[in-house]
Amino acid sequence: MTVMEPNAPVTDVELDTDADTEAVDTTAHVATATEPRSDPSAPAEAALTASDLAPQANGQLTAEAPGEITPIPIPRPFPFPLPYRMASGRYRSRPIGYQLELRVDIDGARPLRRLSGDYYSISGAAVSYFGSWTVDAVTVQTSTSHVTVVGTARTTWSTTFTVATVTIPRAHLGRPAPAATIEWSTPSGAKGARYHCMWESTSFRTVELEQDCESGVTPFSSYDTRSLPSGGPARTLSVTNAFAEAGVQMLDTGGGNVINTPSGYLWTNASLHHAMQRHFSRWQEQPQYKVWLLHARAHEFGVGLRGIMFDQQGLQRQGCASFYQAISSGSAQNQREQLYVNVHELGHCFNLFHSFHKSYMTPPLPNRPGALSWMNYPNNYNPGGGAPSGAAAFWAAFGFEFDTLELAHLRHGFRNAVIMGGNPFGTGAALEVGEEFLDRMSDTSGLRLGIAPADPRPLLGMPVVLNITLTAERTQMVHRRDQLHPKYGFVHLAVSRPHGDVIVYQPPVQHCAEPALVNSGHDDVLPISAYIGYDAAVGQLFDDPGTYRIRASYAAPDGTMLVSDTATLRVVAPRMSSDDEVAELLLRDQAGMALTLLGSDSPYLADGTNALETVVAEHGEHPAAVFARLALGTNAARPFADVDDTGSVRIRERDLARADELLGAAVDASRGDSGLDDLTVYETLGYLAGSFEAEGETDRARDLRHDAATLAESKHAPTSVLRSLQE
Amino acid sequence: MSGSDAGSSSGAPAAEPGPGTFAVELAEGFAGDDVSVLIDGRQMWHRNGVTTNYSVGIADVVRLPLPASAWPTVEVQVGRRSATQRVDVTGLGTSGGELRLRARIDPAGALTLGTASDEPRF
Repeated sequence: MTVMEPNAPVTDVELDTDADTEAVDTTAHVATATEPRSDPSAPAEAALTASDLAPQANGQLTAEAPGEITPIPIPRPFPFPLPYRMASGRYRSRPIGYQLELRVDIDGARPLRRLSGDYYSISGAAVSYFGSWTVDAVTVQTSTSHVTVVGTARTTWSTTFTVATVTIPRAHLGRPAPAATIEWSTPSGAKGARYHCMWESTSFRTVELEQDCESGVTPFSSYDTRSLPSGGPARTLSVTNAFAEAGVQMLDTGGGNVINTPSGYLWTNASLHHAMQRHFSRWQEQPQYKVWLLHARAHEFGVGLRGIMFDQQGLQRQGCASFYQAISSGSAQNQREQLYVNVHELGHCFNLFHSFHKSYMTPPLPNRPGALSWMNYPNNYNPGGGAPSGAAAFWAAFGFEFDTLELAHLRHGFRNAVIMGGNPFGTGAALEVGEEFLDRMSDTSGLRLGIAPADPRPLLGMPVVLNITLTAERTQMVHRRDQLHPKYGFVHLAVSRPHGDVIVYQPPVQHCAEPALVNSGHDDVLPISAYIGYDAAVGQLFDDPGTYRIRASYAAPDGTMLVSDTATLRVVAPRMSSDDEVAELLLRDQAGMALTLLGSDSPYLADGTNALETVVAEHGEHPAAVFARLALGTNAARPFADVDDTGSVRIRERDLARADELLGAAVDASRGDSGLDDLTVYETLGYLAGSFEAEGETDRARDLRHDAATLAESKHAPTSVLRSLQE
Repeated sequence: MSGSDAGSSSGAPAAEPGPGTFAVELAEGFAGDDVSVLIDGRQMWHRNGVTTNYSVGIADVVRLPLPASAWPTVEVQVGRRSATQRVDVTGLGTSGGELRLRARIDPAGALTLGTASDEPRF
């Protein structure tokens, strides 16, 4: 039996990791210990062998034959306390149902106090990626026998078992690396699945690196950081060493093609991609931890271009190139720059943006121009506060390492945001960043961007509405409230879906409008609600049950880029046959578009309109029916112009009786806590009032406006909303 | 895996630019845009779908013939947005240098055009 999600408890014997795998795992554990896997980044303790230390370490006695007189052995005191092995590293469970790759990051070099993992679904001989999880902050308890690590996980799929407890026995140096056991539970303590994971490597990830070289180019080998002043400890760094320090094992698989080119050849991005497909022996159009690096001479963009991650078509980030034209000599400066360029370009293949380009990511993050990172430009280095900036200051302080957030991404980012051939370049790499970073951003801008789904647990097929709120803590110009709707392009959304893909939301209808700015401050709250269920590129956005994570960004008029916290939405699977029928109707492509447009007479959307009509007629009591009534009623409240093939225009006039009936029912069903969100209710009443007013029915219009204002006041709507209802 | 030619999927290999070049670098912020470059009001270059490669912060480098006038006005149009810059190309044809402008779109959507620095890019 295969369970539907890997954190849930299982009772089936096949998956009972408690009893079944303990015994099997022990064997596997011994095998692992006696046949250690190749790990170039393993720590120095590997130099100490078990036979060197075993007698002293545990004081075990050899069994003696009975009757023999044996002097009592006096244990020779060990000359110094024997240290323990690190617990950090990568562990892996047996491939039964699901296989877990577990990453523990609590000690060793630059520990981030995080856990993360990837699940792979096993079906016969087929292995497929299931999902990823990460714990951003853990508590660690260490006893003489065990290390216990506990924290709450964010996952790419829907689960209530989010509390991870990892237990790792402590072992002295020279002893085999113990296995880690992870046990899942709900926040209230209900037990979930348990996985016994063999130690695999001190590296958090392993990537195969294949390098080829253009004729006439001498590829970089290593650089001694003592050659020039720097900010880090002295050591000799190669590309693989630099990544090993970050916790990523780069397995250099050779390659070594010499690619012959004509004299003075300039590479283009197209020719680089072609060369990758031709010479990268491990290249495939699928996500894999394999990457190609070409050492080349020059690119058509100019002599100033030292390197590029050119692979931005199809499945991206599988290849990069460094250009030696201006840095080919053996001078220390050039050797240092060669190291920097090669590590930097490979960093892009892991989906890392420049420190000063983070605001262009999807979703964006604040830039970090003061980062002493492989991903910053030395020339752009600016720590602020009047501290020295520019290339000289950068190199003097640079420790030849990634910054902490980049390290978190490399080690613990969700698999598709990291793996070559996963998410497109720059997409999804911000979703795993800790919330504390965003808090700091809010403090400096005086603005707060908040998002929350109107219904955090909608049934499959229910239209998804997002409440977006901008709060201005101090007086400044911001966009008018209505322009915070994503369709105006000032607010952008990224949605991480249950299967790990990340969609940058593209509204099907985009409004091109001059920015309308208002002066806000004193904690003014500007809320807007937006239907986001239908995307211009992918169509229905929430078409699977599971957990969706949404983050918004807002480009303020002064150029500040604000990022919201992450909102979580769990789409619930249909419970009854009527839920299933409604989901089938509302997840039709045209239904999504009809909901976006709030109804239409267009024959091109007839299927969607019919679906809405069917929901009202046959499932009138279903919670989704209010949305169908909203769309159909709003459409009835306005004229519709139809242009035929001859260019003649036929106007369908307002049908206020039908609009009143449909919208009145939708509003009445939403006066409490269910149905439409409050903002939509006020706007609907206002829209209907405007329609009546346009037809000269001012008394009805006044009543509707009064109803909207009274309702809004009773629900303590923000001042900005009350003001707009009076306009 | 044997040594062979580089190959090209986009026609003939590119050539080194000659002495005295004039270029407009389309830098950050381009995302599938329709871009035109005009000199003294005359369209010299146009392309659809211009998109920045953020590993270098460049979408494209538009190499242009040296303008006839000494102080031409360069205009970059991105959709309905436009930015202009008047530049001095006096002596560029004989000096062998390169004059490079950089057009970029900031995250809030503003298009700017200025002189590109000659600092390295990675």
